[in-house]
Amino acid sequence: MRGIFTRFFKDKKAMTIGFCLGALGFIEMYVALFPSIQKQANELNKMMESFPKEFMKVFGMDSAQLMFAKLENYMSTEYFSFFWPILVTIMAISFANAICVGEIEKKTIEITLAQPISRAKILLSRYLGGALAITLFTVVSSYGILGFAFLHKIDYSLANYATVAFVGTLCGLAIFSIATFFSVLFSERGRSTMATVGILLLMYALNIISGLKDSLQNLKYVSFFHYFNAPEVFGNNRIVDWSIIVFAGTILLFLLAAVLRFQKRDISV
Amino acid sequence: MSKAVIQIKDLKKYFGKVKAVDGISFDIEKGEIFGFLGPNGAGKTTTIRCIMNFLYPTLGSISILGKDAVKDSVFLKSKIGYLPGNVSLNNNWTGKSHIEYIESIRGKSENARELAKKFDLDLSKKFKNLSSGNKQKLGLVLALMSDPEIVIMDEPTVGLDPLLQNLIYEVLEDLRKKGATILISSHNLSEVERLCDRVGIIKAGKMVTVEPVAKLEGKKLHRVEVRFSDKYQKEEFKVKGVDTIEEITGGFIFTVGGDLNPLLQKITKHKITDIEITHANLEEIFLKFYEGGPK
Repeated sequence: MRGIFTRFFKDKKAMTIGFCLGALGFIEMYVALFPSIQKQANELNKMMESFPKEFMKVFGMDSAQLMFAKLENYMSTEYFSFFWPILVTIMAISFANAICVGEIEKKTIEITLAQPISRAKILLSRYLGGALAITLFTVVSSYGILGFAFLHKIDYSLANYATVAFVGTLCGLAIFSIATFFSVLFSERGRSTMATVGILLLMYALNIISGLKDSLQNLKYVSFFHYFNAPEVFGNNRIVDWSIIVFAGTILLFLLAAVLRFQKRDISV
Repeated sequence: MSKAVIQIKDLKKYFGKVKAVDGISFDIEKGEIFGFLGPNGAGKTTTIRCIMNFLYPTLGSISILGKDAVKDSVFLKSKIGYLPGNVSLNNNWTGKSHIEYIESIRGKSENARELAKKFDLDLSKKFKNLSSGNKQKLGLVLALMSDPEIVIMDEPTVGLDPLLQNLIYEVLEDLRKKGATILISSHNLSEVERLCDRVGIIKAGKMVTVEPVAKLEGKKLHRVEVRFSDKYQKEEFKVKGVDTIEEITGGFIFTVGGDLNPLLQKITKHKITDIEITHANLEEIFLKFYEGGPK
């Protein structure tokens, strides 16, 4: 198992480093801009307050959080609400595809399947390799903010970083588990990718729709974007109710489904 | 007690309505080289993938070393060296990385480096930078590096130059001497003729015949080439046993399954200038099966 885990992680090392550096580059840009944006906070806040309340509600924002008074509030809106979820989703789907469907397309899976190791162990070894890479990315792309804040002499709230790294890792792994399931379900990378992206877009849409009408508000509970609500998690250092259970449950459920499916499916390249 | 190392009983593999393998049965005995012959799409690779547990049989059973190929697949793979058709490995890994990867699962190999040396294979090159022949050599090293009791090769020489083909034949013959049991699928008849003890011919998912190569070559089909100096009609030679008649200048080439006498009686009614009777080669036997001739 260790050999497959190590090899998978090694193969994903360059991409992980690239994503970490990309995230750090964006963080530096955002953090460097923060002091000047902070100076204009009052004007920006006035502008935000002129937006319809429904608009602010739909996007889960409130004016108090958009005051840019704190680095964490600013980064939760600018970075963790949009850029970071895209990065972690691309990473999760890419690594998940490499576990099975990518190897089927490249016709390289037979060399591993011909070895004396169970399919469950093959999948779990690769999953753990990918999970480690995603965890490292989340930690670097969260705590990286702290480093640049220190460099630019900006105040920070240390506790918020542990919270966002923890919830962010769970969220990334939940997406990774869903993508892993589709990677073993399908034999074409395009279909596997579209299935995961489709589910995430649906979750995003449901989270927005839930804010439009009181009668629809319960829809938010099926969306990861409700549980990884960056202004709450990073800005307010608060773990949204049920989020750990929902993310952990998704990880276990989809990973189990992936293992069962991988053990039973025909693999023909 | 049966010496069979691989036993396949009534194996069926369906993909929806497509019957890729439709009820084949055969045994492979210890120490023999068994040739699995058939054109593309006949079901050779599907059968091999079922043996390797990449595909699950729809019906039937596969037993290897007395164990079930599905339930005991992990144990059995420790005994099997597998070379896929058109070896596809990880483009960015070197030969050395591939060997280390297999070693991380199977344990340290005693002979991987020796094999690479024997094949004159540079293990420091990335797979994508290897020629097709060297890719096949690497596949062969990976298949044989753990000294397997059973070797399964899917079209091992396809696309290779004659020198490399010969190298592979030598390796297979060495393995036979060591007592390994070998299954090779092929549509290269001359290699099957050269290497195999027995051959199974598969046609549209069904096993047409399983015979010792010598028996197939010697007993079932004759090739009769004859030239006449007098007048003759093609129709008069359409007698019992004649499978095909090919017209040549001044005569015919017949392929005859079974008794030669009815044809010879017709031939001797004419003035013969030349006649040659030989055992048909495997290719002609193969074509006979595929053209739906008598069996």
